Amino acid sequence: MINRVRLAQPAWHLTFPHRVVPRQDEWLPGVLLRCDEANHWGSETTFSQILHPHHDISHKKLLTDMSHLVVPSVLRLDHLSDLLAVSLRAIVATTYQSELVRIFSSSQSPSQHLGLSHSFRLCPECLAQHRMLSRTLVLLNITCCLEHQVMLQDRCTCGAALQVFHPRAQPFTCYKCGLHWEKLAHRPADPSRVELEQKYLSFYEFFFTRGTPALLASARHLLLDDAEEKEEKVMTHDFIEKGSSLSMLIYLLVNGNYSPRDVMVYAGPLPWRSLKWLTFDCPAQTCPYRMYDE
Amino acid sequence: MTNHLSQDGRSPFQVQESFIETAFEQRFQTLLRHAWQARSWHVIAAVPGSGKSLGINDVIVNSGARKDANGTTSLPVLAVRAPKNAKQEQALGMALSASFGVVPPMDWQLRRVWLARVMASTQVECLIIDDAQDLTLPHLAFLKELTDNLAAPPYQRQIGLCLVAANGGNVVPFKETFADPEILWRQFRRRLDTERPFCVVLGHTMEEVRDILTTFEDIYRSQLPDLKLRAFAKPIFTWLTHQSLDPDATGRVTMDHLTRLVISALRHSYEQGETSVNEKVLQGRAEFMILRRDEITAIDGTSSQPSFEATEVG
Repeated sequence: MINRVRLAQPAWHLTFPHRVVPRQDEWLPGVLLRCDEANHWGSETTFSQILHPHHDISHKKLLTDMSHLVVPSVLRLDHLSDLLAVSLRAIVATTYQSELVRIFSSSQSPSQHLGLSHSFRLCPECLAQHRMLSRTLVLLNITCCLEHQVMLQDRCTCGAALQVFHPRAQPFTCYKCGLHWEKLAHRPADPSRVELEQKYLSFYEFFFTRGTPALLASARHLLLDDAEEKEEKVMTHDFIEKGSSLSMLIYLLVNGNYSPRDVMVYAGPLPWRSLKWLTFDCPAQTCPYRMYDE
Repeated sequence: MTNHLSQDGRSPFQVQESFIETAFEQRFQTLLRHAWQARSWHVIAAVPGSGKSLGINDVIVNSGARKDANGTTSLPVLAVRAPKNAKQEQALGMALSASFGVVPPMDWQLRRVWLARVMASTQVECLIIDDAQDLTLPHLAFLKELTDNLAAPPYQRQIGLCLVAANGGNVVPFKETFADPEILWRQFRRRLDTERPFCVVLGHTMEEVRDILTTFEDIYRSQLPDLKLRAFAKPIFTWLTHQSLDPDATGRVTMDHLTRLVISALRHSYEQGETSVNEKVLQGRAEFMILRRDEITAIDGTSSQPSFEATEVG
């Protein structure tokens, strides 16, 4: 990232009038909207500027289907990196692109494997305090903001469903009534829900930082073993192997009362025998069962 | 690319592009900085080749303009060249927009509002229009509207304005236009600086030419170790104030003419293996500029042939 662009540098004429820099855990649309706001442009202006010119997706679908904003195949992130004089790495970090490609080892629509929220939601407190749209807003199992312990909102007080971008809206406002998103209802989240979602987020974080196809397969086998052990008929092999997204897998793991540590242990070199219900205290420093603790 | 060596095996003559703060630049930039600091409006004229554009560039590069990573952009001095062959106000609006960097396409009505907003948010304090003699009536009307919008709420920003124009024939651009009784021009006229509304910045006197030659000696000493140019200040001044180079009889020398003469003579001497330059070479180059400047040269053969030569046919 270039901290300061001077007039004599070529970058002056290759960057937007006002530059914004992605923040930790910020989601790409938040960066694009902050860029619109800083430059006094309407919502969607920066988005349109980095849209690949030859994409074949309808404009409406582009603005409503969030998979394009999680793994942006039709957005030129390298161009955005030039326009903001920010490293491409920092821009890619506002998506789940590199994490999903690593976890699923596939470049074909990895966003489908993630399991996304069906609507755009946001935390009004995050907006009010930091103008922040977090990456976690798109995760299927997440319905509240763990930092502010309020429910995510997907509708304006006027009843309109929130849309990330809209050609007639100002950044961070309802396209229908113009209400600023920071003024949406701040509804406190149920503490038990916050606790549950903390577990979901731990798993998401676990897979996003350590996930590989092998670890994912191992987590699926853990669930299958568990189902077999409990003689459950609901979760068939096909369902777990093929039908489940990462979000569904995490849902099953959390509801099966597993932790990321269980998955790590199961993926370890020793045969797994329902370790969860065993008391195991190995004194050896190199014991693989201690791996996740360390 | 092949690096051709001269006859004595030296590397090719290198023209130094460094900006020289000449007496003209000091006079010119003092006016620009005054307009910037006092937020005053001026029409500033000088003959072509004086170094106006270089001076403007030097001012904006050193104005502290920056784009920070936190979203703050500062462009205290905004300078554009007047649009050529584009009479509509949009052309000037586009030129102003482009000064800020990459701006997405937008409707003109939206852009004119946006321009005022971005000029306010980037803290523009002075607007300089180079080649202002090319401005049209719609351009000037747009400039007035833009500066009026900036001066009004919510921005309330007074900005300086310099219309920098090339002049000739002792005529100052815009003087007659702004004297017109039409309301627009009266309003324009009212905004001009009280003490120095129309300024003509003069070229170099003989003493100033001598100072510049001293600077050239320093700059080119690495290539021509025995270079002494100061001694030729008087003849150079006389040649460069010849009627063909100074048609308005200002009795002053432009930086363009002085640089052309000196560089041409230095290059010629260097390529002949000399370590300095003599009056004969300078005079020969001056004659090219004064007497033979309209000659037509026929180019024949190819550059790879040893016989490649140019023959004067004029």
